[in-house]
Amino acid sequence: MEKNDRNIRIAELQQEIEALSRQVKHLIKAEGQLYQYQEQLDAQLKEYKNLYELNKELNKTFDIRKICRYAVSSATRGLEFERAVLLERAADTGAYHACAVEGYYDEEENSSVGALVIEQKEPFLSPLFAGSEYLICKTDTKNEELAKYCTKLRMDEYFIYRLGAPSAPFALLAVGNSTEKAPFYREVSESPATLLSIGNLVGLISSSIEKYIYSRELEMALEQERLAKTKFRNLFEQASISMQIFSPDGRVLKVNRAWEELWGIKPDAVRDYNILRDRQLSAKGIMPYIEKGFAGEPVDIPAVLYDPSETGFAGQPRWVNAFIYPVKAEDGCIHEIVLMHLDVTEKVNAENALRENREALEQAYAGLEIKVQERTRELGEANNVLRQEIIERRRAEEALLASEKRIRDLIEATSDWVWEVDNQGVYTYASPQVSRILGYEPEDVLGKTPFDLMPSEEAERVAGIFRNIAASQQPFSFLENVNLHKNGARVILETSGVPFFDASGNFRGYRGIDRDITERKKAEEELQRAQKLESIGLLAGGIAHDFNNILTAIKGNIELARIFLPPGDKAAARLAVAEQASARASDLARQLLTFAKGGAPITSTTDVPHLVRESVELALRGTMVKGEYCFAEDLLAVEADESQLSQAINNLAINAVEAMPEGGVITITAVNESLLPGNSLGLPPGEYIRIAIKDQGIGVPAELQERIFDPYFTTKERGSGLGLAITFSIVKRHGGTITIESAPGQGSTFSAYLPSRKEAVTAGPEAEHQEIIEGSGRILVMDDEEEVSKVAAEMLLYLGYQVETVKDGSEAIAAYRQAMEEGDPFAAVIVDLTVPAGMGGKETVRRLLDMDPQAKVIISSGYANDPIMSEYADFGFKEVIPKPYKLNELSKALRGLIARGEAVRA
Amino acid sequence: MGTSVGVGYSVHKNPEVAAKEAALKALEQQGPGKPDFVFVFATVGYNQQVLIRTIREIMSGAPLSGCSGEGIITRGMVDETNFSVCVMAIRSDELKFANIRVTEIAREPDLAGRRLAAELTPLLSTDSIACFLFIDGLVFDFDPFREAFEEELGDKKLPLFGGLAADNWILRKTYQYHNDEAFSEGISCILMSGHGSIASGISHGCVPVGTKRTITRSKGNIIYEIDGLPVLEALKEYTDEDLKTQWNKLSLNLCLGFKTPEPIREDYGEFVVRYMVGKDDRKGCVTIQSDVQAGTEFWMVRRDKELIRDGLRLISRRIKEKRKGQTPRFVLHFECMGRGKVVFREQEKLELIRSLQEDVGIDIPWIGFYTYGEIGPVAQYNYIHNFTAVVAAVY
Repeated sequence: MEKNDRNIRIAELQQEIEALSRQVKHLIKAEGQLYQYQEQLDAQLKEYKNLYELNKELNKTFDIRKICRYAVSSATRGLEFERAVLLERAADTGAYHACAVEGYYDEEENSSVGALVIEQKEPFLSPLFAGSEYLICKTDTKNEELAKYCTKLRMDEYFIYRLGAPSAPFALLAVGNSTEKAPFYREVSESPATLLSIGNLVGLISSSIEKYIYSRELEMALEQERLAKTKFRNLFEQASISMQIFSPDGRVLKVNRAWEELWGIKPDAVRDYNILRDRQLSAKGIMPYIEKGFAGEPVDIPAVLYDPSETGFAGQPRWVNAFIYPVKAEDGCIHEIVLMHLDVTEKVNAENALRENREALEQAYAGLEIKVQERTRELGEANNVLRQEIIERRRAEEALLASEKRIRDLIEATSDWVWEVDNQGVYTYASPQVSRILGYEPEDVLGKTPFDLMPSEEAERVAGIFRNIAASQQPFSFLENVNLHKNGARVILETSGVPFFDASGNFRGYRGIDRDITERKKAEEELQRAQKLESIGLLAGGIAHDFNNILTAIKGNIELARIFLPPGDKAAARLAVAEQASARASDLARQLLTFAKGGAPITSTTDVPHLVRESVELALRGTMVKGEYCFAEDLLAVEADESQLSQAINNLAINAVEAMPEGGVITITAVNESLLPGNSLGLPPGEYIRIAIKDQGIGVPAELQERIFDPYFTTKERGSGLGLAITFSIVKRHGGTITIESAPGQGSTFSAYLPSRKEAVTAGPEAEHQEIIEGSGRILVMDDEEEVSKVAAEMLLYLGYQVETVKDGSEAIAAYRQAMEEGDPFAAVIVDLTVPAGMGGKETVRRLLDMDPQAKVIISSGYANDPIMSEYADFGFKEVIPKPYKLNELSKALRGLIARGEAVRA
Repeated sequence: MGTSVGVGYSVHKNPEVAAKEAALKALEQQGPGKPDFVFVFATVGYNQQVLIRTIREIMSGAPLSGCSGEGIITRGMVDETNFSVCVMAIRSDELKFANIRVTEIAREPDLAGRRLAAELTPLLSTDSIACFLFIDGLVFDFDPFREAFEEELGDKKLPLFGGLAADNWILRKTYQYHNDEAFSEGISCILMSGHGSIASGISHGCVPVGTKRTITRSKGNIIYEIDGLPVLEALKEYTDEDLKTQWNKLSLNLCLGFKTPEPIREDYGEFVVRYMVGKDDRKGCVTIQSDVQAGTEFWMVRRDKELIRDGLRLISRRIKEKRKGQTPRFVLHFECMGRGKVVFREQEKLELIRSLQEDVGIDIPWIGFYTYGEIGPVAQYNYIHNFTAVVAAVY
């Protein structure tokens, strides 16, 4: 039994133990929760304590900066966020500017966030303006706009709360943490506890800021009130009108200085005065007005003579006009009554005196009336005269105005600039044309002198001239002077002016006009240049002609001498050299002629590659420049004056060489080109060849390219400015054109376009030239140069002809007639084109043909470029032979007559 | 000259400002002259390196030791926030301080003990008084460390005081301070020598509840099973919360009370309390800060506020009994973080600490921190404690 009892007891104890064990477990659970609540409670108490302390501090201050600092400080120290920024709204832009930061211990971060500005229009803020209390950005946010501000706020998670109404919150409070430090701070989460904590802080700060704003407004209002009171007090004290202020029960409260002066009573003396009990006012019937005013209505009181002595005060009686103005409080109750007195004693006295005078005058008036009527009539007459004068003056003024308008219209219509300067030379008037001529508005010119508008040297020159003119006070005309356009361009003006004087004859300045003669001067210069060119050309032509005559003698004699020398004679080599020299002299003469007259080319089908290569190589000789050639295989020929074309190409090559002083390569190409109608070169459609010469030189700036073919235009220190001009002229005369492509530093390419022809080039000129064809018959040679005649005769004799020479056309005609009459006519006549002081070739051939229509006349001249030389057939000549000519050329010319079936008559 | 000591603290969140504030206050209290030694305890919200370097600069490069705690304690002030720092500056021609450090202690605590002893041995002298140890509380197993350490020192055994560094429940990284450096997984050690002595007191304040439990599987300081149940299963009975997510605080309510070893039972009481410093959900185990064998009996214990109060009174009484009529030069105080705000209301806690401080003596420089484990000798045995207060008064 005992054992059973023990077992039962053990079982009971075990049950108790188990029950206790369960209770213990409950106890531990409960205790754990208790501790947790305790901790939370402590945290909340701490937070509320912080809020309480904050509230106390906020209540002590109206300094907005302090409030902002408290806000961020409480967010970090009280709410345990790592960082906080308060952004204040700018009144002008609405943007939010950081004004207080906390928790940024790195200097760079602190200054960066301290300078943060969030524009009001930032899209991520819009929920706040739409009514949301806050924005939240967590580290895993998908909102890019919010995430963008993580970097700017230096927070990886943050809240932004608005402080103030959604429409325009006066500040934003951002609080949050960096990821690195987040474990040590309050988490940015929307837990009720966190939202409550921040909400409390935001509410407190918002209300403080609102209080600040209210207090600021109140302060301003009080200040305004204080100012108003001060102003009123000053006005009251300083007013020149006597003023009293009464209490609503009639006691005098205050009087101003003007009142004291008016009545001569000290303010203390009226301390017990009550206006409502003033018997004098009652006696004078004024009291009803007073009472009305005290009842609250502004009242004007008629003038009354008030004697203070009657009321027991010292002082003199005064007539016063009074005005009562009751001052009411906002509730409509009368606060004070202001009584103003205007001293009208003098006025009343004056009115009395006036009244007395008026009565005296009325008595005198009767006698005066007649006199007045007479005087009125006189005045009427004078008035009529004056009216007439006024009418006339008005007409004159109208005429003057019309005249002025005419002049103004004329001034403004003329293309010249009309001006006026004072006696110091300063513009006092400028017509609108100054704007067109010099680019300045008239008002820009006024105050300046004419010399202010000129380049300094010109200003000095013209000022010197003008000083002399001004000293003489004489008119002047056509004074040319150079001015500067507003855009910097030079403008040449022609100035004329006349002095003007005031009514006393004092010199006041000049009036005049300026005419823009820039274009005229340019044209004149061009003309002068052309004339100069022409005169040089004439000179060169004359020289060339004489030169050719001389060369004809030289070359002919050399050639004959070589023929007459026995084979192997040493002199033959020397003569060959002399012949080459004379050939070069001949080329020079040809160039002179081309330059001089630019005569029509004497064309033949020309082998371009041969000619180009020769011309270019001539220019490259002795230079550090190498020529590279590329000619199209099917290159067509051109119809060209070989000597002119050669010169043109030579000039282009020289130009290329001079562009490369350090040496280099020039590339010469020639290709066929078909030009279509309306081509950009302005050439007729057809087949052309293009000869291009490309250098590696410094290039030609775009602005100079248009002028590069102008005569005398050069960029070279020693250039004549004629090379490219002649080239252009030659190419143009051949029916082509020339272009330039260039850029600074990239070299230049000159392209000459010449009409091509499909005919093959005739047999090599050299071969043909070398052939000497003998003949027979009588030849008449007419030349005024004896040496030319002699050598021609010698050459003809060598060729087998009989020769007779004459000096001019008259002799030639006589000789020809005589030969015909004798039955031994000349087979051909070689005539010189020009014969000084005698009949030249042109007249001679006409006369010979008149005499003998079958006359075979060959024209020869040193003026190889004379139109007659190229169009000789039109003048009746059968052949042409330019001087200086060689034996084979002479034989060819005579042979030409034979080849056309016109055998030389034996 | 004697010994002059100053203490300063700051709760400013800017590490530089806080360091300056605390250090300058300590210097001001200490009086003129460069300190001979500096103790620093701080919480882990600060950039620790900036904090320590700034304090050292202000202290003119004086030797510095300390660690991070869960909170700080100075005279009349306790703070268990993430941002608080306290500094004690000591200038003395009576006491000498030599500081050393050991790192990489996590894997082999016994080796750490030997290494520390080897470093310490050359510094020991006949007037060596005690060692203060501040050790990483997240990676430390005290028993093998102590055994190896004391074995290495041989007959030069010294009393050990100190605490395990804390990191405010984040359980990621604690810091130990040595001169300019703040480091982890190490020991900061101070050897105090000279003309002086230490009177200390230790008490816990826990009571057993429920029936006896037995550890049925363990290895070193890791427990796998209780009464044949997986340890985490067994612990679930004591909470409605999710152990996985709420472990940090809940573990404080689930303390284990082991029978106190006989030699120290008289001085220490019936139970040695152990806090479960970590758990491993995957392996299903918990970690305590000393070794335990399978078969060891224990009781669940709970913290009792009255016992804690009584225990603190006992500490002050013991200290005063040891040094009758004398005033300590300064006091170092290592309080378990489980006895702070997780048990007491702020005001209660403050009153409790003030009461202790007043009992020990008026105006005594006082510095300490809330630990993840306290170190203090009981009956000549160096021991690690949980849920205790270890107070070392230096005379």
